[in-house]
Amino acid sequence: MASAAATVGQRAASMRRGKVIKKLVVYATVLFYLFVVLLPLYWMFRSSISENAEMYGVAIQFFPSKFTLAQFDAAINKWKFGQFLVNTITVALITMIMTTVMASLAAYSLVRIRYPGRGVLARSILFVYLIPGGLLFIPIFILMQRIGLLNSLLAMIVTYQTFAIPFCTWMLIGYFKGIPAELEEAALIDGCTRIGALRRVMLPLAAPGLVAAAIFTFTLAWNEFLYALVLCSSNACRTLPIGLAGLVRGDIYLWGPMMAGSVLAAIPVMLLYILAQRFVVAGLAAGAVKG
Amino acid sequence: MIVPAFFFVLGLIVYPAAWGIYFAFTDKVVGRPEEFVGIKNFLWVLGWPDFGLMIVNTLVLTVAGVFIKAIVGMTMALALNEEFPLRTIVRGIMFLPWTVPSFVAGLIWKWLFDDQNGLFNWGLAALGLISQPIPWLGMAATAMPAVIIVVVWKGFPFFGIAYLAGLQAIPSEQYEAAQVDGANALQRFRYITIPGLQHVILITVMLSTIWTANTFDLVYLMTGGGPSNATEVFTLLTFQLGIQNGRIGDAATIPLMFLPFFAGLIVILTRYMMSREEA
Repeated sequence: MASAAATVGQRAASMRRGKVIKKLVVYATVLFYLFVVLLPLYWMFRSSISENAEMYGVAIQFFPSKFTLAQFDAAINKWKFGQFLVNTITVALITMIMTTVMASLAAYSLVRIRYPGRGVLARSILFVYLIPGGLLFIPIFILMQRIGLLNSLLAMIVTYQTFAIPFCTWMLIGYFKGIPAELEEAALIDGCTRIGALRRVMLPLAAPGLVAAAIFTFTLAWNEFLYALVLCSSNACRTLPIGLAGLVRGDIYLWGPMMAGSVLAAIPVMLLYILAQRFVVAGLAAGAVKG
Repeated sequence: MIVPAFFFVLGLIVYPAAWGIYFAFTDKVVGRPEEFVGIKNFLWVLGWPDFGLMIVNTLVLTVAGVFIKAIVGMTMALALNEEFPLRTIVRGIMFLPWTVPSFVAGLIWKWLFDDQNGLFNWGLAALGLISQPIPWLGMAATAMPAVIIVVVWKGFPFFGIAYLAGLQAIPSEQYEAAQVDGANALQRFRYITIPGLQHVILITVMLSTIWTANTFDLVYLMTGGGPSNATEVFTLLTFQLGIQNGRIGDAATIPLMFLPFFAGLIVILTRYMMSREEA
């Protein structure tokens, strides 16, 4: 009896000890990861608002003692990041609108209209989405050169669209499938056209999916580096990533303006993700990472 | 209705892909018509002294990058699955690196690793660990690990969020039952968590392998492939040959040599995702 009670007591004590250790491990892991995640981001912000004197040499200061907008001023006025920013916004917005429209049409057709080859098409959409851009930039460069689109924003818009359409279609198929067909059949019987049914019934109901598709495309176009570098070599069409990369070239790095430019490039997409995290996570769940 | 999308994909993926294969067998250079040369380009590219090194680099970056991302992502998910104060905010913060554009990540870390004024050398010197600044990105031994660190920093939240969603889908009764049966934490992880996450793990690892093997901007910005080709990867070599030197024919052979690897992965992943979709 006594020994049994002792074992139970010991077990309870060891379980309690186990819980404390587990808690410590969890807290240590979380704190460590927070530090690793936040330190680089802090350093970007800190470098974008510091004076050069506090950034270089022996006088590096972890916390800035003075606040300055000089780095942003240099980035925008001296290094023409304003122009690059306008280019990036133009490309990202047009790509986003075109892609969302075309992907909705394609997804609707694959979900609701019956025609031969539909299954193969649906499968190849996923296949095409997974093809990495690194395999295709050489022939696309030559193609754009032949049709005279090199060094234009249009070359980037058309290319990004092509890369974004397959994923968005795939994601929207998931959303459209979840909407009962009876709803638009009623609309069709009432004299609505297919496009009308899509616009008035499907799209409003699939709004979260559309938001996710639009955000995915916007960030893809906003962040894209390789094709922007390949398709554009003149200042007039340069986007923010390529403009920033231009500052890396010399022997003396311009870290202040570069970090200011990085803040300008990172903030819009980070905000977008934070504001729309709900949609994006749901979209990822419906599309890529179903599991 | 699918025609516009179909047209774009055909015109900008299928057609260029076919063209790319054709270029690999011609002496195409920018601004000149091409002629068929057989497998001469392949022999020339394969004869490049650091071709083997480039293959090894691409492999090391991909395998180490994906493996560490998966491990770190798993620990992040396990930690976030526990109760602690401010959990929602912490989860949001941990997601941040995934939202940072990768070229920005590359620039921030290049700045952190900078030998003269970088935060790392400053911190290590302040702690008394080093007396001389270390050129992390300028030495063959440390350049690739540095690039892998950035790949992991940028990519682990994708794994973490996916695994967290997977963890939350595992019924807690399974864990309770196992605990009653006397299974310890390691056994519960091995026999409940891992099988429960099997599908998510497979999909994230395969997706990330494709993405990581295709890394360009991080390497281009951080090291440019150097020092002495220690971080040269296939996308970068293709870019240098084809775009910087205009040797389209030679450059086109490299993606073609990597095509079987990517095609195999994509076919497996497509099948897998489609079958899960229909199930």
